[in-house]
Amino acid sequence: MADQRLLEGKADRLHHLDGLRGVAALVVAFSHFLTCFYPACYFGPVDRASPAWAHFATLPQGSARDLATLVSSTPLFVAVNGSFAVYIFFVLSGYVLAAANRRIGSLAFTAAARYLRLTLPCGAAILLTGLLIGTGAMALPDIAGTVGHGWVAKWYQAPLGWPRIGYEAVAGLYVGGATNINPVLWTMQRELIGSLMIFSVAWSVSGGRRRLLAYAALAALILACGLEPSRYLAFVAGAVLFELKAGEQRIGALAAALMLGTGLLLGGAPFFAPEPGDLYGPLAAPLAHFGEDARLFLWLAGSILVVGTALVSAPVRSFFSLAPCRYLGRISFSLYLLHFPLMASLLARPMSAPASTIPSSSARC
Amino acid sequence: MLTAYLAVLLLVSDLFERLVDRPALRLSRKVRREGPSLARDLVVSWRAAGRTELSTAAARKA
Repeated sequence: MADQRLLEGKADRLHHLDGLRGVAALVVAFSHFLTCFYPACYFGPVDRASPAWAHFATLPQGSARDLATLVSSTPLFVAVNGSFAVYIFFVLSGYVLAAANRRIGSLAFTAAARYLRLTLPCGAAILLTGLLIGTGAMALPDIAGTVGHGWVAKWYQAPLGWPRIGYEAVAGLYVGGATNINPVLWTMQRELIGSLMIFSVAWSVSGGRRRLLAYAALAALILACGLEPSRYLAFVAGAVLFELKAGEQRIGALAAALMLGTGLLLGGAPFFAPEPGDLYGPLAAPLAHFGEDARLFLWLAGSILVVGTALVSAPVRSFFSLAPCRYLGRISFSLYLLHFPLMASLLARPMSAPASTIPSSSARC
Repeated sequence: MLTAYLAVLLLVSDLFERLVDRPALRLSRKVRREGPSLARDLVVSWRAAGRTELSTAAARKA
């Protein structure tokens, strides 16, 4: 099987998982398109986390407002939920790292290799973004006033010097946990720490059952520490899926549809925190005790189910192994790193032109 | 406009994957697989060089 071939170093990539990663990267790109240009479709017509956005609610009822409600407040949100797509990345990372690092000779060199794997492309993307900033190509700040949402106004307002950009490219992206150069880079600190967690277990514990126990202990530790538990649990969940040999199991079409449907339904939990009366309210209530926003756990559970389905269902594996998905998978990391700076320059530039100023009600969805 | 942006995004991402991402992946695999043995070789040759230097110094003294 492909997983076994990866294990033996004969296979370069797991195509179905690559395909899933590619589709998830496209969802992240589309989610940033919405957050920048049509924020009501992402944050909701009334952003409960940001009272400043409540002015959308004062707009007259109509197609724009209805569409924003439909996309942001129903399970359809899964199609544009970039945060959910990031959870899929984390679960996939856990699975692939556990598969490719079954036996670790040197923990230090494995960690150094992971640092290089993440830092070289991220550093190059940061330098490229620095060039765009330096040449004045970033037009996103010009449309921030028109769009009117605080999230858009966060980017590329203050000048960034080259020393700062150089620091961000090699260390800053991990140290602070987020940079104001590219919004997607917040995930890199979690990727590095999550990877080190998987490597540590793979290096120190051998044997399937003992390793499963070690992952259970790690999960308990993550929950006890309460530091972004949902994100690091995603890595552990991916590694556990590998240890359970999920890639070698197969389930029927009905079970797969149920699993995928539930995963997508959970992934469609809205960006704003669910309230008791909402569709996701009853699901979120029991999760409120884990020290993190309940919707994050809904996305975590959904991402585990989606990745699990991509492993155990033959039709879903076949779908994600299709050539377009595989192509997206091959360029997924690059697409993930570059879509925002390119959007903030190439796409925001024509939108910031006075003739094509975003109309107040329609363009905001 | 969105279509043109998507086309440029895919093109640039493809180029970036070939020029940066793929070499980075190769390098990280090389470091992971060959790093420990390269480091061992380096330490062995460094120690051997040190021993040679010491024995040369001792011979000179004698």
